[in-house]
Amino acid sequence: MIAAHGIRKSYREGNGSHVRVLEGLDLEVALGEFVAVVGPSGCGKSSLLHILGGLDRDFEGRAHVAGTELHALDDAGLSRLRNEKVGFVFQSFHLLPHLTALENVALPAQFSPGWEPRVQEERARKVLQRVGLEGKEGRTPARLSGGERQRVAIARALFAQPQLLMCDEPTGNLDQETGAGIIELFRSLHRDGLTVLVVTHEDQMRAAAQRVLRLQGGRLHPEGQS
Amino acid sequence: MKLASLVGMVRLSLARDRRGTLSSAFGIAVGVGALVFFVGLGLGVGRVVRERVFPVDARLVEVVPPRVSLGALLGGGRLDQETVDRLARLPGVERVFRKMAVRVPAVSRYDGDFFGARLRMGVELVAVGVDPGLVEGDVSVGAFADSGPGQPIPAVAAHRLLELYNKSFAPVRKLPQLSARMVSGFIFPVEFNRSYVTSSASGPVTRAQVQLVGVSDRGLLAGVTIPLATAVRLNREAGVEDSLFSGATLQARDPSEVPRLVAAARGMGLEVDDQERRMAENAGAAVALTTSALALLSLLICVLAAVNIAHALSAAVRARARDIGVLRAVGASRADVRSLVLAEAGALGLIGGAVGTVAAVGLSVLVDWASGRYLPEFPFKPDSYFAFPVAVVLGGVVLGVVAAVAGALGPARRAAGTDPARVLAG
Ligand SMILES: Nc1ncnc2c1ncn2[C@@H]1O[C@H](COP(=O)(O)OP(=O)(O)OP(=O)(O)O)[C@@H](O)[C@H]1O
Ligand SMILES: [Mg+2]
Repeated sequence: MIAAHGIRKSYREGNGSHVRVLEGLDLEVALGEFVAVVGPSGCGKSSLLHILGGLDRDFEGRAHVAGTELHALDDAGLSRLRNEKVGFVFQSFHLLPHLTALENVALPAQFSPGWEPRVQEERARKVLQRVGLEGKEGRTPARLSGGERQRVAIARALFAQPQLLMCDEPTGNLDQETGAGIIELFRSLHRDGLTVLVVTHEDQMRAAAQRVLRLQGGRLHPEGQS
Repeated sequence: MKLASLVGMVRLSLARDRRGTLSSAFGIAVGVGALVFFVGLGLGVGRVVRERVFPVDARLVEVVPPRVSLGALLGGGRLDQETVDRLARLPGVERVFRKMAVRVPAVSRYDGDFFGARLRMGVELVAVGVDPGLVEGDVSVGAFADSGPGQPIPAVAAHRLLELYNKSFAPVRKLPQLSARMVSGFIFPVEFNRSYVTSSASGPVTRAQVQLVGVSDRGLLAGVTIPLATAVRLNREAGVEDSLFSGATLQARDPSEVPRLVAAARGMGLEVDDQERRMAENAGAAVALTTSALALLSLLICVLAAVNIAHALSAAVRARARDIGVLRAVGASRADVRSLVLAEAGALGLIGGAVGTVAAVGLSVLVDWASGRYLPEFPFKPDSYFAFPVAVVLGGVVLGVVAAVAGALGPARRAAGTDPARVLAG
């Protein structure tokens, strides 16, 4: 599902110098795997997810995601990849405040041909049901709890039936108990066959993953070794 | 991106910030409204000038003999039948209408019932004879031909003379308003060889009657137009010149031939009386100039509205950077984001342009109504000061869209350039 080799990423600082974040990172994730990435703040975990999810094209190295080499795709191609093959879940949910839960979930359909309005709604209802939000379709994010918002965000990521879910600290803004519910949801999604790559600090999430990788010095190391 | 999705998202986005939407659309509406209003006013007033104040037929050329006839000494510049024949043979000439002034002074003294009022007055009467073809189309009573001695002389009056009578003369003298149909058939007396202004009248006074048989744009402005044969007869009876014409009207096949005909007539030692044409052109130019100035001002308002939209959208794009990042994350391409911003502006422009155009047309109706209701009558007072061809109405709406979209180009580019990785981090 993911095959990345020699990924290098650096940011230009204001003074012209470069901060190197990823330095020749390799990563392979098999279809249906549940992989967790851990590491200290600022080590480059989000940067890695953005690269692999096709949100950031500015990197060196080769990255195959869902069967395509990212550098071979133009902006439209990367957008289609994000639209159809990758679902993102962020720490701070990133829902559009003026849209209802249902409309937020159906957002990907707006950028893809072939979604009849009726089919869109049916699909959105179905994924909302899948994440346990039946009956809250018409609420705007302001009228949902933190855990519910994250469930809406997960439903949105699932909307287009992607092969890969990329999650950046999905429980980071939630209390222990709510977070546990979300982790349970990921576990169940994984059981259904979804490939999950999650950045986390949460021990429970680590425990749920099949494999834990630590990002250190710009590379990934299997957890436990160094 | 699908059109339905685009429309749906734009609608949501506009509804989200109602106040911003209204203020942006309002600016466009003011600019477009002012433009449509002023252009409509200019076109309407221009039409009144063209069709009623100076109803110049673009195909007609007025040829007159030179006033100081140097040519006459050399044997040229006389407007006799031979010259008329030469004019008729000029390429591009369709017809020639000869004109001969009645060369004896005449007055009309009226004393009696005048359309239900009592009128007692005397006026100097100027008459010119023309080839009937020039005014025949406007004759509504009897025939426009010499009826012989002792019979009423058929005559045609100018529309503008009637207008001046109705708006200026009649109200002051408390005389009735007259229409072209009412005056057709009216008979009044005339005395030749009598004058209030010159003492050079010679010979015995002869009396006749004049019957108005129609009203025409081609009639002599301050006087009456009669058949050429009648003018020739009157001149012959009075023993004055009756073979030289006082003018000739050339009818060109096409308006584009006119400059060539003017040059040819001048080449023959004749003069061209283009006073009316020049006045019409000057008046038209004055209207056009005023309209252009006001239109320019309105365009400036549109530019300001576009700048206003650029500012508003810039702020919105900045404030919604995170939302744009979210759209990118779920599959929006740069082009999609750009389309969204441009479409939002286009919708603003469409709303503003339509509202402005409707407001302008509404205001014009109000002005016309107020003019009819409250302004006193004056010559050539029109029923409407406005003309709104479809092109102006559509142009107004299109201008609104163009101005708004132009204002949105910068913000749209910036929105498309939003780095999703950066705005979604954290
Ligand atoms: N747009 C940017 N411009 C400059 N530097 C950046 C930018 N984004 C991230 N960085 C820097 O790159 C490094 C990695 O950032 P990143 O967000 O990937 O870390 P992270 O592992 O996700 O941290 P956290 O656990 O706090 O979310 C940090 O030092 C950060 O300051
Ligand atoms: Mg991070």
